[in-house]
Amino acid sequence: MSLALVLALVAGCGGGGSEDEPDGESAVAEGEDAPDAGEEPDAAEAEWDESAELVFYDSAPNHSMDPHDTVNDNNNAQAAPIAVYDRLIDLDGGGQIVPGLAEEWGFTDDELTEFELVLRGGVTFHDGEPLDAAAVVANLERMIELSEAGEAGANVDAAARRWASVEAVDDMRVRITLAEPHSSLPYDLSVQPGMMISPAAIAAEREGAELEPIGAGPYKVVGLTPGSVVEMERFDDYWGGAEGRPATFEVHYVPEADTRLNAVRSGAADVALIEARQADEAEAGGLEVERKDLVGIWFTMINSDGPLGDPAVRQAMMHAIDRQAIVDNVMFGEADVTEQLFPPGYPYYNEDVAGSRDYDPELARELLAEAGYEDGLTLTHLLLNTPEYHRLSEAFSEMYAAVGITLDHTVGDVSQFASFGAGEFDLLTSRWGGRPDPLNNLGVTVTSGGRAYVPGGAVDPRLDELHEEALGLQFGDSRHTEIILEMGAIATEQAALLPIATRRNLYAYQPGCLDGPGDYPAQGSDDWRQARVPSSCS
Amino acid sequence: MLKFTLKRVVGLVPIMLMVTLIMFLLLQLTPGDPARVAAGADASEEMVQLFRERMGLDQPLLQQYGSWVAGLVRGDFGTSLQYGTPVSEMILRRAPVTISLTLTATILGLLVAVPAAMAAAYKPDRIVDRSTVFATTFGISLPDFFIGLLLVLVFAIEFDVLPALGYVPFTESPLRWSIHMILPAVTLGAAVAAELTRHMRASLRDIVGMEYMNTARVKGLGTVRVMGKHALRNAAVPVVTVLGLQIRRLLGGTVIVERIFSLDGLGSLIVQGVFARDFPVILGVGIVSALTVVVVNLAVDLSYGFLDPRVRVGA
Repeated sequence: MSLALVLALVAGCGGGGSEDEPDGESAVAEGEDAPDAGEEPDAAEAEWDESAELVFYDSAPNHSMDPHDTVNDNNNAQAAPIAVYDRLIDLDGGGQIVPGLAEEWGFTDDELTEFELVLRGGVTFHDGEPLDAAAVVANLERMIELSEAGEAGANVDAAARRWASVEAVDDMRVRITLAEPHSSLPYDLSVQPGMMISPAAIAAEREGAELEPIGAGPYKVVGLTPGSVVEMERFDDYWGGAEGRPATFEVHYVPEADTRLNAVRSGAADVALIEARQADEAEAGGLEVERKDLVGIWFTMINSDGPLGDPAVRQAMMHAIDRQAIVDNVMFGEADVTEQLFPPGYPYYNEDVAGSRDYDPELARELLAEAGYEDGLTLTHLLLNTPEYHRLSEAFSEMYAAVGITLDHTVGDVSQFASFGAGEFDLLTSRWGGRPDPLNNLGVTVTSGGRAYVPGGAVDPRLDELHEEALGLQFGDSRHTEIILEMGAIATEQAALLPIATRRNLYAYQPGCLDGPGDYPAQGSDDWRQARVPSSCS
Repeated sequence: MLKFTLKRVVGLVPIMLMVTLIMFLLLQLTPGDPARVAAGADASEEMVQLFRERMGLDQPLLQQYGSWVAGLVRGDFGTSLQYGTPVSEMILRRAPVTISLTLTATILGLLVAVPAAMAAAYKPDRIVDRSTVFATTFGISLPDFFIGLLLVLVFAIEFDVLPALGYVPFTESPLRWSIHMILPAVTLGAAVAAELTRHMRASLRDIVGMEYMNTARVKGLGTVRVMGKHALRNAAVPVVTVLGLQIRRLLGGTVIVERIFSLDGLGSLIVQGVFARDFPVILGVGIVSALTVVVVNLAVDLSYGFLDPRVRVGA
């Protein structure tokens, strides 16, 4: 295998930021650095309180700190895993892949089945074990085994199933051979499948909550109460430098939003994830509220087996909802409207179709009449049993009713999610945490390959064809980018899903007492490796 | 007495068996697939099937029930579908929180109820009595979550004198344990105090009017002695019954109170279990709660013998 070829390919895909990306501005200029290292000038050293003990109250639990097991998948509790386990490939705030534990990577053949990673030198795990090819291979093999045993998280499972074999080429070089072409492999390695565990912890053959959680990230776990709290300490030998980070970082799971906010107001927590409805209360109480836009959205998924198989009905639904009114009144203004799977401003948001599915109840009625439903129609809707979903559905149910669409709601909880995938309902409203890979985002939500979310299959065969084509193209290939934009346009034009608004995380903290977290453009979470406590905080 | 006790204890076995059967069957009736939840929303059908087999959820119902009950007898509550850890371990780790909460709430309830009821019953229909009735109406009608949030706003945020949430084990620091228990215990205990006060007041009122009480007064005994020695013990039987019944309210209340104060007890565990369709956890906590209620009621029954010698003879 020629090194030249690897490097040539890496140049095209590794550091991101090629001119092929739709939004060159967001591309990574500082790609060679750790996502959070080396940015602070020397004079600013005293700016951050390195003895601070940062306590964060989150709304989702860590049932275990095993990044590869089922519970650590797309649930939102990524704050601790991201802080503890650095990933082979990192993500910058704009969603581009950047070097992480691997400095370089790329496909070494034109078929996109041979992939090599060149690891960063001088990286050690929290237990002092070095990060080398053997350690990475041990991790990848563990994931394959977990997947075969049905014990892997869905992301790990989907990734590991594609790996036909993994091997160490030399001390610092790893080769993954794929069963079939899959250009999104680097993105796979930027989430859970890229989280590296110390080989010593793997050798102990313990899984889930029993795993010794030793990673190579800037924080090491010193205490874990599954489903309750993860206690971490700063890892001073972190490859990206330990400067400026607080001495400890604790992530608590507190399901009750009022309790989380009260905790910050009373000083029990430094920062908490709050709900949009609490923003005013928090600010009135003298707290600062930081708003972090996510790549994810609120949307309604459709089952095209049934009346929704008719594009006119789906398009009518797109035109029936007044998204801005929902944002203003139901989401307390803490969101942006979107008619696409991606939020405005995201590199793969397609400006060409922006606004093409605006609120227009008259047009909605015409489209319905065209489809033969001038007397209206009734659709079944699986509604999740949380107040947020109820408020949302009350609003859009009335809007749909105004054009003649009656929603027949069945209230269920997350455990009934699968009944939508099984085709038992016409509609399911959900929030989407997002995936780092834009192609995967579309693949899961609008192509026939999307398991749980596209029960009727793709609404337009072009979506499947384009997706298939993109999987065989190099990342950074201009056609790859074109395809993603095209798929987005088709999805909006054909109303393959019914987007409502973007998602945003709101954090409340005492003014001047937190800097960060950073962006993590996937899975509804944020990147707490960047969080700092200013020295001026008293 | 021993024979009576033994008979009652043996009588618990069929009750508990019924409880296990009803709980197990009720869970089967709930919608939602535990294998699907554990495997994750994005999991493939293949993965979900592997999960189902691994968890034994593909076995016939009767066999699942049988092996669960057989495990219970051996003290094995099964393994959490969500955490992969033994349920008995999880219950043992979290039980101290719930025990602390229910015990302190009960003690607090008694500390409030006994003097309040005595003061109210001593001079019926006077101002003290009327205000007690008024206050207990509040205690009974205000929901736990309202009292809890109100207490946090006032004592943790406005005056900043008590912690808003959290738990410190008694073994780590008895002082910090008690400071952390105050607000949750008051929240949970308010309704208990109110309910007990009302029953005790009613019970005492009946007794205060009796002739032997007048005799005691005429003998020259002081108010405290009259109420404390002569009235209280005789008024205790119906009150103990009510106290026994409160255990159900307390255990139910922990679900809300533990959530408001972010306490990792059995109440919050069962809520998590329900959301995740973690059947072994739901059944485990359920069975422990049921056993607690049954044992407390047995203790109440047995205490009648202590409080009222006539029952002892009857037994």
